Amino acid sequence: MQIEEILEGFKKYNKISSCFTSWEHLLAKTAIYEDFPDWMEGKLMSVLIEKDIERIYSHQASALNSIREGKNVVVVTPTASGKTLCYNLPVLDAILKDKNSRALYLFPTKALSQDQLKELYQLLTALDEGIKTYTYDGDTPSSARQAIRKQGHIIVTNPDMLHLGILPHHTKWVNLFRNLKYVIIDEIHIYRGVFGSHLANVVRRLKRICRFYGSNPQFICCSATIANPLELSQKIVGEKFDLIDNNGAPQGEKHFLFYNPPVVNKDLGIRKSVIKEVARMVSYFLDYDIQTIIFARSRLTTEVLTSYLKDFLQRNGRPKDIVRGYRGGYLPNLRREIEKGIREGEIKGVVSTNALELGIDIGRLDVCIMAGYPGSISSTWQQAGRAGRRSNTSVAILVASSNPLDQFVVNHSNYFFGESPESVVIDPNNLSILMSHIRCASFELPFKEGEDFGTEKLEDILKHLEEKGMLRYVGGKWYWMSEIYPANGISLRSASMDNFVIIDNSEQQVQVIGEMDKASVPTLIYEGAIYLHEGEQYSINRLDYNEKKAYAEKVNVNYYTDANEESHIRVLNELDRKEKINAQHSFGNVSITTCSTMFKKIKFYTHENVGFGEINLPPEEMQTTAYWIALNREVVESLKFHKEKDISFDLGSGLLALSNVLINVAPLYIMCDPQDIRTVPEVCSPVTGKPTIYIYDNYPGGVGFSEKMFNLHKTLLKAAQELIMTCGCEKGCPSCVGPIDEVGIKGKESALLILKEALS
Amino acid sequence: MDLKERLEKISKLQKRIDKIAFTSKNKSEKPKKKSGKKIEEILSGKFIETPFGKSFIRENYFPYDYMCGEILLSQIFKSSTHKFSHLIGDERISKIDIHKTVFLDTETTGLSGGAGTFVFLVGLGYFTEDQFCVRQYFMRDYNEEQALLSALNELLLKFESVITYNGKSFDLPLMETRFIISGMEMNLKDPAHLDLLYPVRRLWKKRLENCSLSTVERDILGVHRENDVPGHLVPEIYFRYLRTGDARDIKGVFEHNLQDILSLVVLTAKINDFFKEPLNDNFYPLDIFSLGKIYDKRKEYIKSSFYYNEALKYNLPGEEFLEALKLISFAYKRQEKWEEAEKIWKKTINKSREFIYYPYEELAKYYEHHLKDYKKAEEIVREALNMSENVFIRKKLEYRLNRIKRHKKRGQATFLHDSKSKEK
Repeated sequence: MQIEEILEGFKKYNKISSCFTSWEHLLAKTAIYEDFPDWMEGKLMSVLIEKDIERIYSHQASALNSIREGKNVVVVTPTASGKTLCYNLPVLDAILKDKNSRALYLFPTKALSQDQLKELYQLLTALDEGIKTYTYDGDTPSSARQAIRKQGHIIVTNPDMLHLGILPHHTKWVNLFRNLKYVIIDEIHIYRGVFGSHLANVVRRLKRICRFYGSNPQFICCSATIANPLELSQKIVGEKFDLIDNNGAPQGEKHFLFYNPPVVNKDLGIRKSVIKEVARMVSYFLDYDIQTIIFARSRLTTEVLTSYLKDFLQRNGRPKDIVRGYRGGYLPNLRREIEKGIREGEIKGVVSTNALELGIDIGRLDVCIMAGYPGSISSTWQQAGRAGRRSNTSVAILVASSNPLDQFVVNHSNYFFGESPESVVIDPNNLSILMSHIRCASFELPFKEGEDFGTEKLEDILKHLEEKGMLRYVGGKWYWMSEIYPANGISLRSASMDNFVIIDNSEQQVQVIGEMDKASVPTLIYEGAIYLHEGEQYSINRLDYNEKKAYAEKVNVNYYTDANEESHIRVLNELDRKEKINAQHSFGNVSITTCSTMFKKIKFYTHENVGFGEINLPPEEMQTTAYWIALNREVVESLKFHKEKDISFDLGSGLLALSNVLINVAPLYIMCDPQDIRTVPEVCSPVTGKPTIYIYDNYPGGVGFSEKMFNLHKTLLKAAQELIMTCGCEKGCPSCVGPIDEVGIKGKESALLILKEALS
Repeated sequence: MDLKERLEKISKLQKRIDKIAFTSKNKSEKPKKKSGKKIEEILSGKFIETPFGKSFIRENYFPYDYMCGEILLSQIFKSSTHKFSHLIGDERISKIDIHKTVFLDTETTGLSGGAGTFVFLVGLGYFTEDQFCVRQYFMRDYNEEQALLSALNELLLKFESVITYNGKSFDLPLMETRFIISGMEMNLKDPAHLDLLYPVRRLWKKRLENCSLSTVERDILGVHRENDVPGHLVPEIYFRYLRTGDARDIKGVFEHNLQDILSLVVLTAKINDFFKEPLNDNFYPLDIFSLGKIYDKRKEYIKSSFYYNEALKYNLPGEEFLEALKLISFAYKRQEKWEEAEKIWKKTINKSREFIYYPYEELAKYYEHHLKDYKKAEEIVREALNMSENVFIRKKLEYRLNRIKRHKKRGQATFLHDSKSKEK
């Protein structure tokens, strides 16, 4: 049975076809080839020809030519279009021409760098020219480090290691920095908001060290489809770039389907569970061994779906192992095994979190099913791109959950297909981030008077640090004058990299079965939790919080557990306040406490609640800064009597709608990613005693967003007003106040009413 | 709000973060320029000219018979580094010529290492024909770094080897870093390097409260420092000097560094002497035990068991006593001195108040595989089973017991078979 036939079946079977809200048919594309450039080393060409690569795609050729001309390039083409050759070829060519040449590869995650290494190794083995590639990250044994520093032609690492371990010790890397020809930044779209602003500054430091050793590397970046890849690369590197997006890779025809599960309870508007619907949908393809990838929104859903599909296979007398789970937290070896199984076709179905959205090499599959909207247009395309053979037909199906955003997207396919994907916003000159990295850079080499760091603020900051006694100015240079190793105190990511391990001690052979980031511990591995791992159930018996260990025992129960987190905001001190007629604006230090206290036991398949349990974990506290707007009581009271166009005012809806708009608008003005800030609307805040919206920096210590919002509050509110008024939707959509299902039918109007008063 | 105010605010935040991450001692003092004393008013030194400007140095000379603690400087010439080199497994050390050796110690602006840690004082000690000379190079401010490096680089040309304390992972890489950043090459390329920290750790870790050089001086060399500057305060003293221009407290750092260099000389002698004649008049049994371990590591089991035996003649502390028994038993086992090993295992079982698994296991292995005395093997395993309540150990023991029983049966079966055939 072919995919086409299954699709025909979908169309014919009314019960299913009525649930499709959109059916896009994307036509096949043939490959556009070009010959190898004549300047490329013959040896490299012959190795490629041996691998049956006789010509290259048009985008690869364009990239090679621009790079040859000494330009920086950013390559934006779909998943599995041969992006890696765009940088591997010039790098290898350069090393073959001059064995002293060096290249630095930066990947956002460890898993990706492992994957890259494997692909490069194949080329290197075929070349057999003694070119050495090494991964250098936190896991590299110290015994191997010295050899890597001296001999590695290609160093594969991540921005965190560059920031923490390489740049502050640049004298140990003399060979690398003297001869650095290319710096590769892959998956550049991952570096959004604060993370990207940090990276841009790490790159400033890198370029400064290169200048010191007399090298001037070219940059090659790769990006998934986003609105502004060129602008992003230029901001991160601080130089001009060529955009390469003339994708020449072939593409089979593709169907992109939106599926909305049927309503089971009309009165309550309850739809069939997305998990069950997806499981059913996947089974159609599994029956015919059509390779399918399923993306789930959370680790828990990933595991539950994996269990369901394995059960399905078992009931049908087929091996359970042809379906596997995949997510962060599996041990590296297990992941490698699964990736290999997918590539080689033994695994017919894989259920994954967005961990497989990035460029890990698993080849291309036939079908992609998304259990829930991935949250952004860009991610959705990225996940859908996992399905798509060069010649055969492929299918991507988005199965909506009952979540308001999902419901909006699935019912407004033109919103998805019409809008451009999201922009990635960064601000390399964010004062707090900039100052952190100027400290690091001063540690690495004293700044000379008049030196360039890509910002006019440099000298002011140096003088400030001098005043604070952290730098000493003498003989035209600023020297580091502290015992502190500054990079240690500066993390590029918001989440801590601390990991907990999960240990199975039910057998005599005690073994580690997985790991878990610290932030997820309170919702996934509390005592009493059922930890699902590749479809197996483990009960967490003991959690040793200090030792970062969870002890688990294999069990067989008919339920899984789910826990929710609650956050509370507390104002520590107000630093500034502006009183307006109808509202007051403030800015200050706050503390955000997050904790989970209860978990539910949920029965497999029926999803009914079969019990509760308590979670006894210390709450996590984060101190940061927030901006908040409090509305005067009288104003709100008067709004309640407002009647216009039959719309009555609803305070709760209005506040929620307004905070949603602000999250959409603020990033453009304060230059961050929507993920970098959070809002808390309170109908009656215990602090102000008034209806209040808090927006806080989602980073320990804050990075200055709140203060900017405080200073820009009028601009922000005006922009919010304009956005709502010009938005084409009737009662609300994700682009403005949020979907109606979330903010209510009165949300949009109420938000406008609040804005009108707040701005007067 | 202007940039200055905002920077101020961010700094306050950053300080909070620093406080959590480090215990910063940074106090912003107002510079009291010209009120204090200059370095040359505090110390009798001189300035030498370099292509990069002036550099301050101080020299001190000591006669060969200068007594440092309980040891003469000249003691270092009495015994060779031959044994030493053998025991730490570095051939180059045996060829060290003390006259071409530099004793090196640095004072720095921090302990973290990395490109932002500066070396502001370098002490170099070396023997001339008739005396021991210590030269200390000091940078009065950051902009004198190149002058300092270039000045000491000239002297370094004379030497083939270097003796330090923790210099392998700290002082020398840091010097290397400073030279690279200054765009120069250090004239001490791949020297034979004797880092005394490692032998000190192996020999005296058990006996000392820590392995810092000052502890070693006090407890091993009998050196008593007066008004010494504790090492961890050194960076802050230098920063304060830079801020205030008052060099008075720097004198203490010079003396501290000088004492370190002298101690390096006598410590080398002390260790040489110990390796040459470990069982001299007043040795410590613990040191002899440690020496046994060093031989163990070199797989010289005859020597290691000899020294363990010597150490065991004295009252070792409980923990070390049991460790020594274990190590000597394995040293015997490796030499296939089974009877001696058996004696030790039995002794261990008798002496230890708590259940220890390994001697039972070793005895059982010895009886089962070596002597093929299954009866004895079974006895010892049963004895262990009576003692131990640990589930994992019990499982192992039961497994062993079953195997021995099988052997025993098979043994009996053959025996029966043999006797039957004889009957025929």
